[in-house]
Amino acid sequence: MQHVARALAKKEFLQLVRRRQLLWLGLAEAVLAFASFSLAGRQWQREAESALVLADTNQRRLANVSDWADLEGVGVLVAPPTPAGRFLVSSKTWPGFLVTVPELPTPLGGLNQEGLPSPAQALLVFYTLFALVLSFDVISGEKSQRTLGLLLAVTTSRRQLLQVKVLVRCAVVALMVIVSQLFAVLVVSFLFPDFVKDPSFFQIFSALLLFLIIASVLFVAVGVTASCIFPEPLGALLAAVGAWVGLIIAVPGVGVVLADAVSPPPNRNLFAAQASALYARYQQRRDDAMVEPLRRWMQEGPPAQPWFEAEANRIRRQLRAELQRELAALFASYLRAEERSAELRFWLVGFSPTGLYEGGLAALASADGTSWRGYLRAVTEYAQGLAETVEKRRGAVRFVMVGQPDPYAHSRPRLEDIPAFVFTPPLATLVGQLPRCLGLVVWAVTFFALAVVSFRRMDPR
Amino acid sequence: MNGLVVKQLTFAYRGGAPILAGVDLTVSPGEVVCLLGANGSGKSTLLACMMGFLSPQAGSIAVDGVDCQENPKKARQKLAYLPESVALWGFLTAVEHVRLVAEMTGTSPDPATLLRRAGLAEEAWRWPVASFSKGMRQKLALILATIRQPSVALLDEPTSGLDPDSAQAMVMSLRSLADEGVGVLVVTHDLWLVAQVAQRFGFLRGGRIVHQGQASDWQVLAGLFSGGSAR
Repeated sequence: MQHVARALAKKEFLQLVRRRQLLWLGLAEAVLAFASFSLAGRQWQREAESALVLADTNQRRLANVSDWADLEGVGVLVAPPTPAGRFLVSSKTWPGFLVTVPELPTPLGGLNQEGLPSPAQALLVFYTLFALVLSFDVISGEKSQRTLGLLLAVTTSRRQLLQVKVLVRCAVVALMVIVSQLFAVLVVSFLFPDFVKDPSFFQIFSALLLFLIIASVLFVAVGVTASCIFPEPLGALLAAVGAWVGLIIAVPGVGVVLADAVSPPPNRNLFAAQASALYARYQQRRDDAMVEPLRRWMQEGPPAQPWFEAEANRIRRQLRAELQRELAALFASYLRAEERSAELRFWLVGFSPTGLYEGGLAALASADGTSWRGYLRAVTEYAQGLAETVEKRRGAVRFVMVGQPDPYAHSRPRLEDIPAFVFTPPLATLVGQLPRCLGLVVWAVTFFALAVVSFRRMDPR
Repeated sequence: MNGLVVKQLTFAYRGGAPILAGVDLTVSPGEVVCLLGANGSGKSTLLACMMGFLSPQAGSIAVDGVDCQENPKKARQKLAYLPESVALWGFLTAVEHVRLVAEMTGTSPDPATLLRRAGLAEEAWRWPVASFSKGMRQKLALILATIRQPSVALLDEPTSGLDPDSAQAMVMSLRSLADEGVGVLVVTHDLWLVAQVAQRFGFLRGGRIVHQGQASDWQVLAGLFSGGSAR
């Protein structure tokens, strides 16, 4: 029966080539891929430049810090002792912690800061649409031009006919994804050579390629199913586009809205206000506790100064330790709320094709947050934000990055003095994303099964 | 028995009234049988059952002794099927059509010989079929349907919409098929075609073949057509 499959495949391929569908869709995919990679490359370059500027700035700021007193009123950025996507911040002016998750530190992952679709999302939207265009008339087209009866008369079975048609479409779609993506990478490697040499690039690119191929195959399945259920090409097209809107846009959109309504993500501003209130209370308690030692020191004069310094330090340490415990509890509740929200989102959205695709890429993007680029980007953003905030209040701000080689380390608070949060991100590797790929495959198989059942019942005349 | 044998065939769409209700029909090798009947009388449905496109609820269909329900693949290999107004694949040429269908059926005929015999002008062989007239498409479709030398050919309205010359060419092709020993079952409204090629005819009404007779029996034919509704 191989000769039947070979001849059918040849006919399908000729159909795609001679109708010029392949040419136009291939061109569109190449342009889209090029635009996406160019955007990502430019962003990567900006990040790299920011990192250099930050390193230089930090060096200069470090030079201005001489002792512990300088740290009063200085934002202290602490890189967590373990690789993590979160940064711990403690300062007198802005107490407590700030969680910064380095979003979009990698090419093509996640949402960008303005909430606009990232290049990866745009690729998903258009590539799946192109897969639909290539497949919605696979059976309905034959039926409408009355060649389905002829085909069934000369081939062995409906199953074989559908199998070959689907395999050809899947192969063509996969080839288009691979060629367009490789073309884009090739061109972008001339424009932004360092971008493609980034150690994280290969993993993210491989994941993107894999997810795009499987997502495209899934929408070939959707198109074929519509084609088997609706005998008219227009009906099949409308049904396929409807399914596409539902799976790509509506299901994830509704899921997110629902998840946010049931378990809203924690509000960072509220967290900041609560942390500030704790710190204000700490200041008040410290001032109150210092009244008595201060009075005694003033009464007894210089001989009591050593006692006073020791007592003041004891009170400060004790109250600071309490503050740190309270802040840690607050931060933990913030993280728990964040996790609850993320978990609900996962259950409502994570199994949709868009959720699986974005989940896989975002996981790898977060993993890349431990790389120097993601780290520096997060530090830069935080430092700039903190500088603006504090500068307005105090007129001056200095930064110190604890954990960097520091000539004045003796005068700094010890790392363990600052409430540390150890966040170990899941080990996200390409292999680790295979269950998500499998999820997309299950979707595709479900649609293919639906197509087979529908086609078996179809009157081919 | 060789040829096509249909016994007590019954078919109804799910939840609907029977379209075919105990149809009996035979087509012997080299014989041309025309199946007549008003629109909606079940003629095309009968062909669809023979091709395995629809599953009958009762009865049997056998081609050269092979039961179409029990062994549909083998039975279909013995059948040629020409649907009504086949459009073919407009992006392929006539030669490519012949080559592809030959490959699908595991045969290796010479396309030129087949196309010449079907009366397709040589310059048209390399044209995309989209530019073909209906008559040319029907000629080509008949070549494709019969490319693997079937035992029985099933033709649905083969002269529908054809001009007299093309219809005459189709008649010649059908005669030629019958001369080669192929049993031919033609579903048609065209009494002229019946007169030209058929040895026998059957008249389908209300899901049954209400009359079978010799094609030369014009008076009966005329009476059947004027005799009432289709079902």
